[in-house]
Amino acid sequence: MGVAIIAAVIGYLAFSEVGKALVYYLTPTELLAKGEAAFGETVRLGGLVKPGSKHGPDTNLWFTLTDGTTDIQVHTSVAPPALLKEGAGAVVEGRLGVNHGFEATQVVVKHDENYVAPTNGAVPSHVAQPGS
Amino acid sequence: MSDVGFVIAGYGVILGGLAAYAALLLLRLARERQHRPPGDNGA
Amino acid sequence: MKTRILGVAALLAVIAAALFGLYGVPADLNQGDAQRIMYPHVASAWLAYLSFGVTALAGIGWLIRRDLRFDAVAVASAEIGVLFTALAIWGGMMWARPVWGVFWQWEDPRLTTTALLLALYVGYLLLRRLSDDPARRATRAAVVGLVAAVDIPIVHFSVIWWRGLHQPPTFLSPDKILHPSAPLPFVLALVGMLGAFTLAWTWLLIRRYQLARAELAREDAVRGGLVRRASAAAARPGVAARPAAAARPGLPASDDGGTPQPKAPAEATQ
Repeated sequence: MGVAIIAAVIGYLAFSEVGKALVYYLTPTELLAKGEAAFGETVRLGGLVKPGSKHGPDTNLWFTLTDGTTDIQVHTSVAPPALLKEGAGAVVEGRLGVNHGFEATQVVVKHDENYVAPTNGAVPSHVAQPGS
Repeated sequence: MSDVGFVIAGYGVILGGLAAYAALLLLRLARERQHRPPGDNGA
Repeated sequence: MKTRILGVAALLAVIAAALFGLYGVPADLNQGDAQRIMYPHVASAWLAYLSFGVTALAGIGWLIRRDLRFDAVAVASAEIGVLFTALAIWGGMMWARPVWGVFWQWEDPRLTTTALLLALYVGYLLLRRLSDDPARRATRAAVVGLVAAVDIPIVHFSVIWWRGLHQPPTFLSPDKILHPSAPLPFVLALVGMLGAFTLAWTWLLIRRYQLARAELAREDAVRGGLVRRASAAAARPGVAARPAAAARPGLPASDDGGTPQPKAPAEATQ
């Protein structure tokens, strides 16, 4: 009896929590595919920071997230992580405005599993970007 | 906090946590063995 | 005695692996020093998997063989697994904050399923406290331990199955064992840390198993074994009359060993 209850609780936790976590972020294409529903709703948007798109100070920052097909321009006034860099991944949380600009209240860097040892003459990619 | 601060916090708590658990485990083991009933020679 | 040698070896190995991870390998080009946290973080996570796997197997052992020594292995491994899971989560948070920009994201599948793993095995340990009957407790724990173990592969493959924030494994995934996505020194630092932590895990498991056995023996004594031993001692009057400390010459003198002795003559005169 006790075991059955505990198993049921575990099952509930597993399926409800894991189920909700299945989609952590939408790609720009997926977000715009929602049509009218895409606007005004708080969502997470993930993609690569388009090279050359990042400009402005940390407290008034603009950059473009792309999935290769669709671009969405993002604006944020919260300080982004130091590792936010062009060409690398980022996930932002916020709302898509009617002007198709995304106002982010949180910016998170998503890095991949590739690690690189420094070699002579090599510079980190975020240092290599002029002006950032 | 700087990166080095997070590295210290990461390594410090993980290694310190292992050491603390190991020390506590030896203490629990010593206590439990003291509770052994008379006549048990603890083989 | 051999366990003591293992303990010393584990301690030295962990220190050596930590020094290698901190000073022996270069930091990742992009992430900098923060990436060094990967070594104890990943090693802790792997040993958490191993712990809960052992708990599940020991649970099966109990269900088949009905030998409480399997249950002692199960509880020992579960408790150590909870420790390593908590340490893996802590290390992950310390790595995530400087690199991702946040300590935690509830909606990430890897993070959520790992938090669930911790909750499941904390629940497992709490469940064990609900029953005084060793056999019933072992059976309940074995069933819960088996159900909870379903989360182990879910945690590991969550980064491959679902879209999240956490990066995929560096080399413990089918296509990467021979082609790890990290330079050789990083892989060596990770494998070294894993080996050192595995030594420490083995020592902890042996000691925690000994504690579980001792607890079972005491429970058994309280339950009726005491009656048996008391009657046996009564048959040999010399044993029962002897002070407990003297009956166990192998043990070091206890902390209070010095104080009662001066009192003893005073009490005797009253």
